[in-house]
Amino acid sequence: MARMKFLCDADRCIECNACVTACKNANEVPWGINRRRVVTINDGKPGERSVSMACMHCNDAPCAAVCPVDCFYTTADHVVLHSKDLCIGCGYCFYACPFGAPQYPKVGNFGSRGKMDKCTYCSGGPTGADGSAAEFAVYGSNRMAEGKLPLCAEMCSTKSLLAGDGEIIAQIYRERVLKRGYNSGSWGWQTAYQETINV
Amino acid sequence: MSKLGMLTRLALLAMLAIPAAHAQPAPATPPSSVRLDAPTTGFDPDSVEVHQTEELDKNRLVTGSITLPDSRAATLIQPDGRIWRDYRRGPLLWITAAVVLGMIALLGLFYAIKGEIKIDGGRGIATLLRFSAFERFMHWVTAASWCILAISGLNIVAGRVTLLPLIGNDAFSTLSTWLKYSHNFLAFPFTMGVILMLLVWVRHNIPNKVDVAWFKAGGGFIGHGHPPAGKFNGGQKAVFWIVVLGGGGLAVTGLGLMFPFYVTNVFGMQIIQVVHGGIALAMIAAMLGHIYIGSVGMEGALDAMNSGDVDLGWAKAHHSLWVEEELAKATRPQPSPAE
Amino acid sequence: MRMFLVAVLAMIVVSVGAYYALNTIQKPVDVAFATQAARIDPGE
Repeated sequence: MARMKFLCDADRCIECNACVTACKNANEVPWGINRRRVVTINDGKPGERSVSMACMHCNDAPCAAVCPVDCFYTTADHVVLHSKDLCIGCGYCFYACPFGAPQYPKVGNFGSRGKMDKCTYCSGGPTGADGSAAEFAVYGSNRMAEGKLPLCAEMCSTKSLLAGDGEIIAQIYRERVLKRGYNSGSWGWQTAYQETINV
Repeated sequence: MSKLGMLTRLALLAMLAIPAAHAQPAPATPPSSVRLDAPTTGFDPDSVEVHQTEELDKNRLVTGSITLPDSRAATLIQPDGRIWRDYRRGPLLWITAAVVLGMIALLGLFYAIKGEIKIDGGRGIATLLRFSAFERFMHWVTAASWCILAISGLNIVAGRVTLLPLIGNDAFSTLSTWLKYSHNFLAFPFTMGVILMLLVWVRHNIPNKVDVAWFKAGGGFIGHGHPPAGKFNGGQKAVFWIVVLGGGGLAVTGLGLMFPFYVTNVFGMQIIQVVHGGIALAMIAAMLGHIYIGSVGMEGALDAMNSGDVDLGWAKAHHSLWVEEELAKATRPQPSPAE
Repeated sequence: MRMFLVAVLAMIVVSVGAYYALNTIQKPVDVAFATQAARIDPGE
């Protein structure tokens, strides 16, 4: 079974925020919730890099591990999703996530921060049938059920944001690195996972 | 051909010649990067790379700039979440189990060996007012709040591995929602109670030589004998300061958790959360002992907080100095009002 | 016993009071993270 992943090519991202706009539009994401965001490191200075960041759908998801009510689950495509019915809005998944993916509707934690929302890899959620209106109202679009990839990667203007089977996008990235003759070393990997990688 | 025509053709030829003269030979190897004409400083922009470790060493976060109004979203990566996660799923669970179950086991063992400490000579008919209605009120506000706070706190720590497998996800989430709301809002009566206790009882809880002697004599727990004590003995003074300082610490860290990111970043929040849990665990151990001795551990102890009136024999045995003070107050001649 | 019940009453009153008090300062993110001009519903 394919293991779905995101990869943002930091050498191609031009900070156009098309991915952010596409996600907001496709999932009707409310104001203030940022499922996907573009962060620019060293803005204006040499070595500026922009990275599009949303949930990375980790293999051993820290959010799932620390959730006090165990509301996360992993689909057959290895996409990490959660149930808003079970979520108690404690905010712990945000403390654990290396990438800041979880978003909450309320600022103060007075009893609850509201139901956590995050990138679903356009896979919907556990409410209602796949692609149903009930599912869309709570979790956003379910493009994966229609055999489509997440809209952020589809809309990327420079094809820096890649989504798909981990093996395939790794291959695409590898080819780019060879063609370019340089890369930024899968920028962020060593920091997030505290491991070195060999490209 | 006219002169103008000749000139025009020459001009055209000249124009064609100029680009031909400037044509570069094809480079032997393709350039590894696009190079603009270097600025006058001779600075090569590609010589500067963004180093992950530099960003990280600065403040344990990798941050950049972002166009969103929420500036916290500018944090790209925070790797410390992994450490916090590993702590919560491993050491925290074991430490919690050891402290809570260990303390219960210890108290059980103590009860099995020592049993309930009885009043020497049994209960008499004379009683003495130990705690006024207000003192009892503020104690129970604090105590009852604390019990629910402790249980709901333990649910966040260990509920997933203990209770959830028994009652299932739906029921557990509903229960946890209620417990979290209780936890956040009972914090206010708890804090109010702690402050009241501090104000009303602090003057009775200043440590002194009597307490040193009391501890040296084993407090009456180890061996027999009743070392003298004031209104609060050494052990109770310890409980007082644990409640005031521990409870105060929990109130402050709890407030920080209820207002996430108001004073600190995500790393700070992780620290606050771990400190909050650590203080709470220590308090749970201490309060289990306090609850034990105040209920089943000692005959006549619960009266103090229940009705406020304690058996005089019990009071003389356990708080002899306080009884002397109270009796002296009662028998002191009242000043007559001025005519 | 009576003071215990009074204490429980006080706990409920203070907690519920705190709930309503904090609700007045609670900010939903669409208000907290959107400038006045950008808001769909200029409620604040």
